[in-house]
Amino acid sequence: MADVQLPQLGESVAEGVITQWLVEVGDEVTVDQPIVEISTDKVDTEVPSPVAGTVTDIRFAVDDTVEVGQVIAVIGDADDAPSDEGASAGDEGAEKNGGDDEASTKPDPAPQATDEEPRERPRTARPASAASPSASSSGRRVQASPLVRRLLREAGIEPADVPGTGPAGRVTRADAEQAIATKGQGSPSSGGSSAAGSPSGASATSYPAPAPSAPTARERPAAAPVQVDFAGQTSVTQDLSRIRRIIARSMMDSLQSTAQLTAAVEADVTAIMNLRSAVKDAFRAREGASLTPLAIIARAVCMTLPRHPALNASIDQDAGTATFHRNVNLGFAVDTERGLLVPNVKNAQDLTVPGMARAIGDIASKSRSQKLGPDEISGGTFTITNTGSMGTLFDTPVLNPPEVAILATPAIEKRPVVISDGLSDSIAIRWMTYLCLTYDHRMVDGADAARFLQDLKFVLETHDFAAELGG
Amino acid sequence: MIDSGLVPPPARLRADVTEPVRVVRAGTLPYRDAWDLQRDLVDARRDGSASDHLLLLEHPAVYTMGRRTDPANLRWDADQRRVRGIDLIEVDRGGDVTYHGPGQLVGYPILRLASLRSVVGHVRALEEVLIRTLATFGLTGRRVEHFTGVWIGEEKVAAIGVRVASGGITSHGFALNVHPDLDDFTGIVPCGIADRGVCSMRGLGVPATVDAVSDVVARAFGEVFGATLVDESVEALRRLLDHGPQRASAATRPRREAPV
Repeated sequence: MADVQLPQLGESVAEGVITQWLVEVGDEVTVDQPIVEISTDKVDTEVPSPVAGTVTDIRFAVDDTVEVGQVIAVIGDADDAPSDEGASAGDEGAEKNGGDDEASTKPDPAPQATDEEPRERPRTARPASAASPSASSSGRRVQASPLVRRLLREAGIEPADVPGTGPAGRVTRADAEQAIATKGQGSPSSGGSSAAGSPSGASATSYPAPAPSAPTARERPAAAPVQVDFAGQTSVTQDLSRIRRIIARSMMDSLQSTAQLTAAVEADVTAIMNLRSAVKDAFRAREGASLTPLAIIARAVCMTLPRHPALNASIDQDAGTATFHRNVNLGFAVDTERGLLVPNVKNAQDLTVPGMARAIGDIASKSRSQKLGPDEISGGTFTITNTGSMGTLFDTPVLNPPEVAILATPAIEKRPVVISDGLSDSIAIRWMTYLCLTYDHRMVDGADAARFLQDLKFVLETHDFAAELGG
Repeated sequence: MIDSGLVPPPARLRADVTEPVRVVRAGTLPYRDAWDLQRDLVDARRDGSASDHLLLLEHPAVYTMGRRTDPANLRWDADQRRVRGIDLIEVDRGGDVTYHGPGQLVGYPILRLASLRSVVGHVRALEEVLIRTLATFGLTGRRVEHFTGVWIGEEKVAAIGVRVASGGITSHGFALNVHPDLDDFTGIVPCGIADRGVCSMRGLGVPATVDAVSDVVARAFGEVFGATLVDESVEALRRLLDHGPQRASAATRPRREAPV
């Protein structure tokens, strides 16, 4: 007979929690065969049997807390065994337990070459229900890596629609890229049409691509997505939609309850545009999100706002108080078919450019598929409206109260600008944009707005975003 | 606070303290592949055919649940996880749910402990390795009593979860947030601790890469565990463990969410 005590697992450790019994009463065990698993301080430890014999008593249950030195099990002589089982555990005992241990995740521990991904492909040699419950419950499951799925999702292609050329019909990265390229040829091609061709599509997430160098036939920009049937009359009167009423009321409230005006600076974003064109394909492949200038500008705003607390704040004139926000809940104006929505990304100050790009893509697609939660459209502290996606040159956005500032990021375009190197001046072609800030003069003075804009311009023109994009 | 006096000296940590530790830089390895590698290496370490190893690698995005993970600590359902391309895997280590993904340095020390008395000391030693690593980048990591891991301020920068198999062989280890997408942590309550956040080295202004941090972690590991370090290629390790070429190619196979 031998008592198995909870062993000392560290100098200052007084107790442990039993997480799993690896044996039952009546089991035969060998010396050093693990019989129980103890959890303490983020460590799961297998406790071995000190002797060979038969388990005659187990004194604690799973989840019990046991003190060091307490007897948790008793191992009797092999002769004491209630010998109703013929087979002896022998040396294979430890192996057997190891195998059981893994059974929850590896249903078929036999040959190494085939025990990969036991749940991923139904094997004909086994009943489907045992091999892959998930496959049988959801129809055809396409084999593709998460990366490939992301690529396809971004391109709006169902993985099931892509013919897979990999092993067992798996959709490979090459298959996905082929499918994306083929799809691209079917739609109006490149250039300015990416903005013009998708009026409600990509306003928050995409800019017009750099203009193609060869002049192409100019396509007329899209008409308004909602058209009116006049039915022969000279005018038609309709009830406002719910969302239209809300926009109308909040815009009027904004203009009537605040003292808003707009200031602007011009920024040279050549470095950002060059960086973007160098890494955007790899970025999309790696992150599954588009690297837009908006994502970088939003990141720059989050790097700038904490230095200008008055712009990430709200004001209550009646109470005579100003409330400053430590976190940036960054709102983005999203154009949807039903009208403008302004969801916000909570704690945007914590996001690097990849996180920002994904967050923007996420709220934009949720806005268009009407899946925004109430908490995603409330609680914003600062808003960006990306009017540049439609080519607007300059903008005076309307505040989204109780916020006291909103930044418009209009078109980014190549302009001839004067560059001074300290010795002489020259004219260069640079990617330029305006940064248009509407602010509430009750809370923010013109100098505050100017300081913020200059700071933001400095970050955009000098910060090396490559570090966040290098992977 | 726990003082670092709780880190046992190397001779009380490693059974074969005079032997070198072989450092394997495995690049990016799917979680299940790395797990298979660990289990085979644990067996090899137990029967003496392998020496102590430190695996350093990154995983594609994945949530892993310890056996005692409270399902309530998963905030995203299967659909949301699929949309984000994040796998879910149940594993055999201590600790609650955790996240691994690109930009996070994962370290798996497969060591034979000198005795079970060093089990918790091993965890304290891993914390020490990470605290020293952070210090070389100008960051002050700290321990928080009852919350294993390494913290900067009130936020966790490195998670630790370890398994000690029979024979005193360690597996699993630590995950240091170098520059992961912190967004992906919002799908879980990391380690089941709801009221504390996570942070990353890059978020704190350190523009280091996983590779550069790996160098420093390996050096610090050598100091704390009293080991000379010998580089070993992942191919050499697979040969040692008799993983054929099929196994090697498994790294490129697709992974699918495990039903839970």
